[in-house]
Amino acid sequence: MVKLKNILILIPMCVLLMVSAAPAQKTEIRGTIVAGPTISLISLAVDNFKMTESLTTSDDTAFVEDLRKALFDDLTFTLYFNVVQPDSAFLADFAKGQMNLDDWIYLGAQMLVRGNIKKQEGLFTLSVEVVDVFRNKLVYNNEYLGSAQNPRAMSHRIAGDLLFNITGEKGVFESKIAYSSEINGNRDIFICDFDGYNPIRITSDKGIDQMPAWSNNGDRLYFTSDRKGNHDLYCYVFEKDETYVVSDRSGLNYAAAPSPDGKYIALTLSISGNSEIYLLDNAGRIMRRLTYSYAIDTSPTWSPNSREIAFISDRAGNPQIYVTDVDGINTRRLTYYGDYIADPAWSPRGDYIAYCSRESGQFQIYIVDITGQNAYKLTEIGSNEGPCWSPDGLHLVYASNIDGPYSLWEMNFDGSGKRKLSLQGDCRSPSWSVNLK
Amino acid sequence: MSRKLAVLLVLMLALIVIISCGPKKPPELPPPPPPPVDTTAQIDTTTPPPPVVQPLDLVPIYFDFDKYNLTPLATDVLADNAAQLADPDHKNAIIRIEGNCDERGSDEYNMALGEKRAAAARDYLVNYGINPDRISIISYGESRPVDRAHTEDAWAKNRRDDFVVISE
Repeated sequence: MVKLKNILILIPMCVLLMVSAAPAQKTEIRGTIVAGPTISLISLAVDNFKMTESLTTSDDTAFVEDLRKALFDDLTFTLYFNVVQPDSAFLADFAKGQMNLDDWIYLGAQMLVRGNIKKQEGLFTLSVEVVDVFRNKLVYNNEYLGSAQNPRAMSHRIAGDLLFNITGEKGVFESKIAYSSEINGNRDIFICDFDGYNPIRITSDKGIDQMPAWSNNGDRLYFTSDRKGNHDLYCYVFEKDETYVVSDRSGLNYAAAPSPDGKYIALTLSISGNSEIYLLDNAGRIMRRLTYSYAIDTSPTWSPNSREIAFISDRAGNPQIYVTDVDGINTRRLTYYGDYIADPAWSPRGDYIAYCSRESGQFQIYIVDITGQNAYKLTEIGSNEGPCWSPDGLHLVYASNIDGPYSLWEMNFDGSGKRKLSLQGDCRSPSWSVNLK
Repeated sequence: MSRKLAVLLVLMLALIVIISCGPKKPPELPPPPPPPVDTTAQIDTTTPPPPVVQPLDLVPIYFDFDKYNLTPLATDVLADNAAQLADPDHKNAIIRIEGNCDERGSDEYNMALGEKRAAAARDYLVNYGINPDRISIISYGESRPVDRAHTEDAWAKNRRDDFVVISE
């Protein structure tokens, strides 16, 4: 009797054990990023620029204020600097006219940027010097010339030089973003500065021009257009202002991804009857076919060493990220999250792949490490798609419908600092270039 | 005893025969006389009006989210489209099937999905017996919505195959 009772208790326990031993479905982790591109911030103070007597009008004063504000934004944007500003309360408390080095140390600064600005024949000249405030030692100095119309351009040059000379990092100030925008019912290719300023139209024809992708050195822009009826791959060459056909094979020619080493273009072709990924040389000849599956295979993205390609396939029933070696072998599944993952983008630092994942009918952007193990959610509301990394791997640009039609947004690698780029039209599929100078 | 049984058997047999005969069928009516032949038409010298050909009326089909398999409803619509294309009046018609997606999801993945949707309809028509040379397919991904609203209704209308007649 006692034995039977024991068995009766054992049976549900066994079932429980069997259930708990079954492989658990992986779930996406929500949280703050503790690993990944970590940066220790340098406290950089920017003092008010000293204006010489050549600056007389209120417009001149406004220019200096705009320049200082743009520089503050640019230095903060690099993610390497904690920018310290003159503290008016501090100055008032001690009845000081200006800050000396000890005051800056007191405010937490490690380095100080100061400058003299003068105006000559309508152009402003800023002499900048950077001082290590602990050693009272000059770290960097240079002169910058700028026009009254464009304090931002002047600020970008200064911030880029300061970043490089203090940290050795190149930043993204000389990079551009390509995207497609539908204006008045017609989708064309545009480019703009890294911060969304100065948009320039690249194509203007009746066809649907979409999915731009920069060449590895930024001298060309690949895109897909149906201007001749079929979705063909074109290439725009900036220097010549010319466009030529790269691939006009029957079916789709799209989702171009030039390799970082400049040797190949990974391209999705449906010449075999459904979307498969191929490697083309720069002349558009097929060098290799990478996928063989009745399922959809598309959206290739290169590892920074050009040896591996991550892509999207729905071969297991729903779209997920897979990785293959560049010779088409050793294909393995990377993600087991959700029921619809798309738009993978391999970080130029190599450590993360960004993607978007469907949740309650909307798409949210995640980054996952290259083992596929740790996924971090970067967006929460709206539908956010098509992430693309900045060349320094610290920022992402993406398309979001968070406030109406799709527009381009940027954020930092950890999801902080979200900001909308002010661009015209319904903007999609951004591509971020390397620094162009 | 055996006689009673025999009587019962006979009665039962009779009942079965009566039931199986059932009520008598009504006499068949003679077929209606053919309509009177209009003799005037045969001697009319003016050219007769051309036979009325119904123009092709190919109806779009719709898909579920992130799916390219044909729903039962889509199959019904396709069967009617196929019958029209198989009609001798339209035996030379050439069509293009345009696969489309709703605005949600990856632009790139949706290009592939739209093509799969168009191919699903083409494969049905080819299996029906339509010459594959008469059918081309293209995907427009998310770029050609019929309804630009951001609602479930709009999305359902946009996940579709359009059948465009290139030549009758």
